[in-house]
Amino acid sequence: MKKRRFSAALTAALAAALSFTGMASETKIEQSGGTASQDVSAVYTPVKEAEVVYSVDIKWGSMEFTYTAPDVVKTWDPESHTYSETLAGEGKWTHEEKANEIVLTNKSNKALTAEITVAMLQNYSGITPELSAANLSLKDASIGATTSTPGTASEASTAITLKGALTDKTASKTTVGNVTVTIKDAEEVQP
Amino acid sequence: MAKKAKARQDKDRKSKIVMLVLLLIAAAAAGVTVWALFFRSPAPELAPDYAPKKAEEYAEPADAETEEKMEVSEGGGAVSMIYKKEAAVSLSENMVSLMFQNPSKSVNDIVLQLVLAQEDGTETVLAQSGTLHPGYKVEQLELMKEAAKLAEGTYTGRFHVLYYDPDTAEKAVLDGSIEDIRITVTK
Amino acid sequence: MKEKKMTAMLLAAILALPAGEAVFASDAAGPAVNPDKTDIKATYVEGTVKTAPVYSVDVQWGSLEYTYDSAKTITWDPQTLKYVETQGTPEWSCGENADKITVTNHSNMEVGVHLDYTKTDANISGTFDQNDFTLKAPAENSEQAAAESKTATLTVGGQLTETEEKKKIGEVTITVTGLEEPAGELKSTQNVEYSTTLYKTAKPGVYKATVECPEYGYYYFQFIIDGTTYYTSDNGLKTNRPASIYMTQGTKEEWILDINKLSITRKTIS
Repeated sequence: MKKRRFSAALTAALAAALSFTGMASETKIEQSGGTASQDVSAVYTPVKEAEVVYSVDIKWGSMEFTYTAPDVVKTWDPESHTYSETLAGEGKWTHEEKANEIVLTNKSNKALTAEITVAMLQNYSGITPELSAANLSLKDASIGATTSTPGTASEASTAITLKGALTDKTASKTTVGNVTVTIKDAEEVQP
Repeated sequence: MAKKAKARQDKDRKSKIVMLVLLLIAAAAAGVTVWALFFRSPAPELAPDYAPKKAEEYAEPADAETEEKMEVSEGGGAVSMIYKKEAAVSLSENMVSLMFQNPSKSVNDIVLQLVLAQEDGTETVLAQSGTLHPGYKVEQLELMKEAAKLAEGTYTGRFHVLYYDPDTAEKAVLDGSIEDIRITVTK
Repeated sequence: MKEKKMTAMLLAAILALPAGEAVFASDAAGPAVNPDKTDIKATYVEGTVKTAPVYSVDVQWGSLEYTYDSAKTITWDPQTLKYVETQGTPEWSCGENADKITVTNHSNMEVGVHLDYTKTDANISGTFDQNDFTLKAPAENSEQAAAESKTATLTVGGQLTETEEKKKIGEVTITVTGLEEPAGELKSTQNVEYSTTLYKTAKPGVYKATVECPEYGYYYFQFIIDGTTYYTSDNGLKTNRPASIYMTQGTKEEWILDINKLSITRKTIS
């Protein structure tokens, strides 16, 4: 008798558990030929948004600059029979066309930013680099894109100019500094 | 007489022991030298001035078709990079899984570093590739020794991308840094 | 006075005579009967127990809600600047026990259970791992929990069109039939007279009978369901005219008669 009561209690507990795990409803049929029906339904799982694929092109010029020192003007002093020297104006930095340019192209399906930094080596700290744009914004290339319509790659560029004097008279294609392009996701603008 | 002979014998025995010990030390030293010279894999030079002669061993061909090279001005450089911003470090396997591709249209070779900034501001290079030529991608790299000290967890690091002239192997004046790489470290 | 005595003695003698005969007769038939007492005897015979069928079948339904994963993946191609759609193998899934239908029989007779799936979306089908089964009646005085139950699982397949809302794709209908319930009579109308009871089965339109014919020969069986007469033949059921079916003497057979398919399935039992 005890066994029966135990098994009955256990079965009741299991039945209760079943009723809480996915069993939605109950029906009773009380006649031969009786029927009961239940709808079957389906939910469509939306297609997941495409993962971000990062693709960035960087093009840079030779970054070779030529420093032309200012002219030296020698003035004769007839009293001392010596020349005194003065510099006419300031030195000049020149470069080949596009040699100082850096161009970035974003083909990612994500907007990016690029920060350009120029670090001069310790021995050339007298030279100051200047950037036409230190921070570049690169739009998401997938805007407007579908499986049949292409998006548009976004491009941005900056140019480096140098100021100050190159004091190392022996410099010949000497490395005076480095450029780093730091790429990050653009911060999303909250609507 | 007998005493003298015994003393001489003792002296001889001691000399032999000393010579044996010295011989063993010499042999050990020779062994270490041979190992260090011929068998030890040296740690790679970080951010080398010239591209490593050896191509990255885990590099795989990436492009189905070879693309037209990017335009580049004389003395300049051009690279295209395709990458994912996740890296998974397995300490037990001493490997990191990631995805970085140098498409065939790139002009320059690449050396890729996975870098982690520590709390004190110093940076640790967790992995550095060999030379990744245009048309190749890498999906796993061997970890550097320093990576073994990492605890399990998630970190934010960066890719430091170094560019090299394909003809002279010289490092370019410009390098790249890709921020916010999610690094997951597991045993 | 003398006359009265004589009359009484004569009367007594007359009365004694049949009693004596009765004694002789009973001597011939059996033991003596006490003329003062006669036993009334009664014998108890069990009455026929009539049990009315009581049907009580519990049906527990899972939610019958399914999720369709189209396995479509969209990836960005930075070389073409287009999205690329790739198609994997679509998958159907559901929550734990959502696809289960459990039927429990609390009736006082065996029942047959039949499950049907009717699709409302032409591209999606549903199948059961078992859609016809029987459930025995619980033993008298047994616990509620001891009632027999069986569970069927509904699997759906096919392609669901993209939709944002939950969509009805079909309907499950369960039919319960008392198995010992007679449906009619299977009767031989010509040659040899024979009839047997026709019983319902779990499946609507399908009946069974046990047939054991007394003689060899061709029998012309028929039965009536919902006003339609069905005739048995060696080629199945006919509805237009009587037909014969050959029977072997002494062979006991179980017949399944399907009026949906007009078929007869015969199985020899002994």
